[in-house]
Amino acid sequence: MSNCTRLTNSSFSDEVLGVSDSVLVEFWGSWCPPCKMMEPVLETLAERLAGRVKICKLNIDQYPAFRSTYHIMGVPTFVVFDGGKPVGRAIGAHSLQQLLGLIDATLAERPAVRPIVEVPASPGEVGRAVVANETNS
Amino acid sequence: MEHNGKYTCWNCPAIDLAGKVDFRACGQSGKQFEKKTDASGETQILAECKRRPEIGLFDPMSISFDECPEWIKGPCGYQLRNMRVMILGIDGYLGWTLALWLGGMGYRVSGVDNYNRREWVKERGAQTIVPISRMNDRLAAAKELLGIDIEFRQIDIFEQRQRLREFIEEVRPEAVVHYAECPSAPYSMIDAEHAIAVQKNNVLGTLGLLFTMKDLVPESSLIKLGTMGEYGTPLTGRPLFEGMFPADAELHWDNRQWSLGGELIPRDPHSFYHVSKVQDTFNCYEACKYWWLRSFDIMQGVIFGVHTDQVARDNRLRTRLDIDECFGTVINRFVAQAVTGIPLTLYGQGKQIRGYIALRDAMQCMTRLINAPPEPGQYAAVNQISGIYSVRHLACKVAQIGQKNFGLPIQIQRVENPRVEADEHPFEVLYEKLPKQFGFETKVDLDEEIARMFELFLTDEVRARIEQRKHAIIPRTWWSGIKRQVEQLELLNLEAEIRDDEQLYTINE
Ligand SMILES: NC(=O)c1ccc[n+]([C@@H]2O[C@H](COP(=O)([O-])OP(=O)(O)OC[C@H]3O[C@@H](n4cnc5c(N)ncnc54)[C@H](O)[C@@H]3O)[C@@H](O)[C@H]2O)c1
Repeated sequence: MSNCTRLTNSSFSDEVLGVSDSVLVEFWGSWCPPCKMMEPVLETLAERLAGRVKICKLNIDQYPAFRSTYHIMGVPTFVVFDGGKPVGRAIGAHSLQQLLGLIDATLAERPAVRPIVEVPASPGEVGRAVVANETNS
Repeated sequence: MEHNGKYTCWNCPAIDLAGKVDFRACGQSGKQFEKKTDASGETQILAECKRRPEIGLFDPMSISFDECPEWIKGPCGYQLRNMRVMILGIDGYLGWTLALWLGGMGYRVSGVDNYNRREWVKERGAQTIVPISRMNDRLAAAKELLGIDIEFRQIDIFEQRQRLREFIEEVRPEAVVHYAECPSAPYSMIDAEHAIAVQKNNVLGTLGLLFTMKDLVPESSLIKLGTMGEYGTPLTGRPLFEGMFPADAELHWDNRQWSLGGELIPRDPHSFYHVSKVQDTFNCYEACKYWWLRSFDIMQGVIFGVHTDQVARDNRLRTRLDIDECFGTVINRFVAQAVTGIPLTLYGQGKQIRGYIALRDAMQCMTRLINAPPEPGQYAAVNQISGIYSVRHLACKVAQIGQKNFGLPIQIQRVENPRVEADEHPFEVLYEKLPKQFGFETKVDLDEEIARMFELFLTDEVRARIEQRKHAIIPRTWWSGIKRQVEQLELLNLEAEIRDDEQLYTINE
């Protein structure tokens, strides 16, 4: 049985928006090879973070409206939600260590106002292109 | 649990997504998409079922194979009832075997071939040592003895694209198994004419097929044969992953790091034939990306063996088997050499390691993959092997079995290596997907299959055919372009060799 929660239109608000916990959502597509290769990593992540961060997946082709809501311009895009608010994101394939880094860095900061922030996948290191063009939206 | 029980209509080739999916709407065409959607979050894909149009529009994720009455339980997972499978290259070693195999399990089989392989082998002055019938007789025997109806057309998939198109339109296959290529490395290295012919046939034949599938059957899965030889044997010793890097493979450079997840792993092909397969890989990969085709790219190891229950049923149902330098594969060749008294030929050190799989096991894999179509747009690669062996080890095995079970006086020789390849190298390969995700279990034991081949090769008819074409066994095609027979470097001391080999393999196990 999968440890990741597969989201749908109707479950998204219950599983992600309406909870006080932290949630990592992967927006993915079946035609995207990096997304496919993320599957085992997300399973492991869900196991490791059970009780702390919930790991979910949403297929952007099956539920396309989320693309504009969350400005998904490429997949996989990972968005970290805290208390129903998106607080961090990253694009592209990530190793387990990188995702753990993303989650730690995002949730450790917990700023008072929670804007969408871009978090480099490997915290503390520069030069990683994390492209999420928020100004276009 | 069946490996594909929880697959849904999203995977099923009977789904009709046409006009209901915003292909590649993410990214480039994001703007255009926004116009078509309300922002309420209520949009989702709906699809129709081509087999059961009466259901109307429905959520393709809502029905799984184990719930759908069109998918019935079979020996290799759930299978689509009377699934229409088209085999390109149906007259070949694997194609004919698969046709009977699937036909026996209730699939509706159709197929295409232009007899290229029969011509190529004839051109090399060789012949299949297991005699095979003409296609008409094969088809009649399949019908008469096994009750299998196969719809066949003689079509060259490269030269006669329009005819292939018409046939695909008529049959509407739900899976297309693509074997129809020239499978020989040495043949592609003979000279410019041969290299060009192989690449044209393989690369452009496949490219045309991709366009035809996009136009006519975009929801059907393409099960395309690649080869482990695409990867080569990187001297870094890096593992040969299944087509792509896993997400946990990281590139570290200049104090930074990247996940390589989903990138195709580097290819280092062994010959111009293998290059054609690499080119196919890219073409299939792109077609999935551009048009949402679904494809399995099978990195198949070297096949050995001649047996399935169906092909062994009658002489008219036999599949071909070649042992010449161009079209014979190594284990099959060793057994033939053993039978005619030619010392088994190791090229160079003979320490080349490759992945292997038995004919029957390969058929099981193919069926499991046909039953588990990729998702829309998914290009998936699997390494289809069941074990890895050094060529030396295989020679020792064949020699031991031939001596012990059949009393043959067998020798092993090292000859000059006509190829450009490392004859001693590290080799680590992953082949977990087929067993872990698709429920594949190895059924064939190497020793038993070798013994079975000896039995067949020692029958008067087959033995005589090997003798007739003995001259075609020793390689004459050099990668450098030289044309002369390779010469013996050393005749090995068989007993010592077998003893070393046993020790080596006991340590490794
Ligand atoms: N046998 C192996 O050990 C092995 C290993 C790895 C990969 N493969 C691949 O598996 C596939 C099948 O291998 P095989 O051993 O059965 O070879 P094969 O030559 O016996 O089968 C291929 C068939 O395709 C037909 N064909 C070739 N070009 C065609 C064209 N343009 N139009 C129509 N038909 C055409 C040939 O006549 C032949 O009958 C090949 O693609 C091969 O590269 C084989």
